[in-house]
Amino acid sequence: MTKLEAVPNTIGETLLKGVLPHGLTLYLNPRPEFSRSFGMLATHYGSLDSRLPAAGGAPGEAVPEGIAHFLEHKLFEDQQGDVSLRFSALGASCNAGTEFAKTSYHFSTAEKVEENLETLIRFVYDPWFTAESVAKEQGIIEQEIRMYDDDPDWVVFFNLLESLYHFHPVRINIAGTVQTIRRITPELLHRCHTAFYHPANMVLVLGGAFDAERCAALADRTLASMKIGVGSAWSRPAIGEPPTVARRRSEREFAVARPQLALGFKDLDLPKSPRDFLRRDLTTRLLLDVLFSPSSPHHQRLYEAGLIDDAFDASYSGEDDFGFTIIGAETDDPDRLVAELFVLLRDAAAKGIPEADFTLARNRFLGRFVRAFNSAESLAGALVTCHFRKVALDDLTGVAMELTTADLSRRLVAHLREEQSAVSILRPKADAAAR
Amino acid sequence: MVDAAPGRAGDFLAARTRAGVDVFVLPTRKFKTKLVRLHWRTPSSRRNAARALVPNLMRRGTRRHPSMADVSRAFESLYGSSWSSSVYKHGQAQITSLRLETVEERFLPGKPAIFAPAVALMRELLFEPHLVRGAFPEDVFAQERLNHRREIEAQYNDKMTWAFQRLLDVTFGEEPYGLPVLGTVEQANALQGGDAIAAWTDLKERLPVRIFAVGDFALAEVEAIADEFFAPARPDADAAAAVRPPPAAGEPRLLIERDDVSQSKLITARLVDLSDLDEREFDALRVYAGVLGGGFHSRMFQSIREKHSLAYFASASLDRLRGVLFTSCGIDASDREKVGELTEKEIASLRDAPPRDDELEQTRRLMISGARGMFDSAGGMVETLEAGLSAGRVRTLDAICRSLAAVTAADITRVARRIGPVRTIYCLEGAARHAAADEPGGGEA
Repeated sequence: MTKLEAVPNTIGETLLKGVLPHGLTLYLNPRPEFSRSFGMLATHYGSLDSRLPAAGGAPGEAVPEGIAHFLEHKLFEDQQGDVSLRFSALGASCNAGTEFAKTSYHFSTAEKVEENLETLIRFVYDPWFTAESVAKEQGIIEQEIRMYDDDPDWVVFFNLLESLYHFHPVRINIAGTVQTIRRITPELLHRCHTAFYHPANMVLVLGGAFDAERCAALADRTLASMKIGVGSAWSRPAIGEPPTVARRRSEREFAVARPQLALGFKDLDLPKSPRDFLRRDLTTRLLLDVLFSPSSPHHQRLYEAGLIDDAFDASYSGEDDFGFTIIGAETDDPDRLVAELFVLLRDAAAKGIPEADFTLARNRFLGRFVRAFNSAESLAGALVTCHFRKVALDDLTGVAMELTTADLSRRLVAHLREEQSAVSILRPKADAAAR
Repeated sequence: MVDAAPGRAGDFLAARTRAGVDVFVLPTRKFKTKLVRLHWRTPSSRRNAARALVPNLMRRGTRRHPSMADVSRAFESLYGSSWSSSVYKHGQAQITSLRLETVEERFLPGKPAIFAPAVALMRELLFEPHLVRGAFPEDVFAQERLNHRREIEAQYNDKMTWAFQRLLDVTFGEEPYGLPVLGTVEQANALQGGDAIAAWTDLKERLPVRIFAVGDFALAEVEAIADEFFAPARPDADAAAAVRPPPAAGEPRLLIERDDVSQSKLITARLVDLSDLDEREFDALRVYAGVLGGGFHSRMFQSIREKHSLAYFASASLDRLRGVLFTSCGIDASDREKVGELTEKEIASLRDAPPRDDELEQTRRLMISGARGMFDSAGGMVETLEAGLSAGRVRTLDAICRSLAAVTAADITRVARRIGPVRTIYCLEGAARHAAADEPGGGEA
């Protein structure tokens, strides 16, 4: 029987952790005051995993682009039919999502939490693929890919990643392409499932209105009853991505009202430990907040010059073996905005990060951290991310409190460098005036 | 069954101040934050653009915080208290909403005072914007007018939003329901400083206003805020409670607009007869739309996507304030007629025969779960009450759930007869990628 231990946290929220049969980590966040419960089962496997594991951690056989996402779709069908209908019959809504480094399956329900939890566990660990069902899904996913093809935010983003990276699979579109998904077969799906969906590579989180002991016991019984081979947590092999960017600029015409810009910076500082990872992540986020939040003088200047508007945004993403900052905007003059941004970055690097600005950004971060506890969904998402990154929830505030302006200044100089940058632009079609 | 208990509106405590402001408070310690929302409503009109512009002008500065950066900094210094505005449509009404969310002080190091200063800032934004000789500064006004026009133009970037507004344009023309909530590019371009001042004055002094608060509050605390914000009496006519318009006249219309899109958007509108609707039918309409196209189990999803692989999404929704049933699908251009036929077939089938027990049961459960889920977020609680206020059916969550649970198959058939014939079929169409599908499973060229 799984033993549950309390997870300490500064907010004082009830959080319990245990390890279920076959090595599946379980987090429980009972919230008796809530009406619904939210369950999420996630694997540390996503679009980055473009190769099957090989012996000794060497890169193995390449699989078609988009297969992690395809697998996510296909798990919703098993021998008894459509799994989402089973959730509906239990009063739950369900969904799933594939990201770079993880794939997650979740349900939300106001009733029958235990039956829904059992359904979640059983369907994710019980794959069933046929040639016919794979062919049918190709038609559906083709429509999904076409929908993304029309989304300017998505297109400008992946055009930028293709510029920043030569080989790294982060440059691959998460859903793949209409061509690559046609190469997906039931056999390949089975091999990916066996390799990446082992409980030891996964985490289960349940938050909301339920009985913690009963749910833990049910998850324990359900997993114990399933036949699952020996497996372990998956570590991605090194890619050998060169430090340079693949190209400095990509530009194309698109059905947009105004030019869309994404300016990206490829991160060369790859973390050596989980805490190192967290430091890199938080330092960069706070730095971007200091430089570009609406309270910054830089933001004000660009806004008043008419170069940016509310669509302006700066964010950082990364995993163990890559990281990038993206500054996105809708602007009439992308090249002028890029030039102004580089002037601004040089200026900020010369002057250093003001202490008062840093304190504001950190306080904002602390406020956002508290706010994440408002919903079972957002807390579950944070727990899954922390689990895969091997850090504790409270490390987020702990590390944020350790950082100084000197850390941010160093990061600015080391990361936001022109030679590590690339630009992606979508321009309205020449005939758009006819609209 | 309107919940008419004195001092209550559904699950909220309710009061009307001497000035005529409606205050709704849901005291709870369920969240780590306090939420306060101010809502003004007015019939949608050609003044939509001016009204939508006002919140963007307010944030550009106040007497004490003269720039946008100063205002942002003041909020950020309160541990990222967030202030935002939105303008959206509710039936025939345009709603302007100002929203303030602050973190509960007890969760922060040193328990700093946050809420009172954040409310004071909100008040400053609303009542003391930075003005020059009674007008928004010319450069600020010109820039926000330009940004507003660009925001309207940017709706083209999201092809579903764009297609939906085109459907409304075609179906409702000049009727308030069809007017773009942010106004049109032409209206934005024509705005003058005086229009903005007039729209701002309406917010301050004239339009009906509601204050919603969710968090660790007492009703009296929020009433005090209402009194402090809005002391002089406001005209008490609810301008937004307009008479329901007659059904838009005209023949059914098929409009295909070509664009460079990879996935075509096929959407339709049908008018729904809402006359003498009782409470049971009101909820049955919601369940009807759920059976037709509200989720994985629905008729449209199962038929168009799962059985025929003709779409990534296929759904239906029903506006119970104006009485319109919408369907929408993301398809390949070559499949337009086939998808249209499948949609029509499902609508006809719900008119001719009651839904199956299992689909009815699933839909009721999903709707109840969805309704309960709204109460797991402060914003959801406000939206539930506001939907009830707009429809004139304010109920507690439990009453809503009981009524949904009571909807029968016969009720669905009864309301299915209220759905009119298709009024508009709109398709934002790209190039066809494959030959028309006529076999289950779709066909590749």
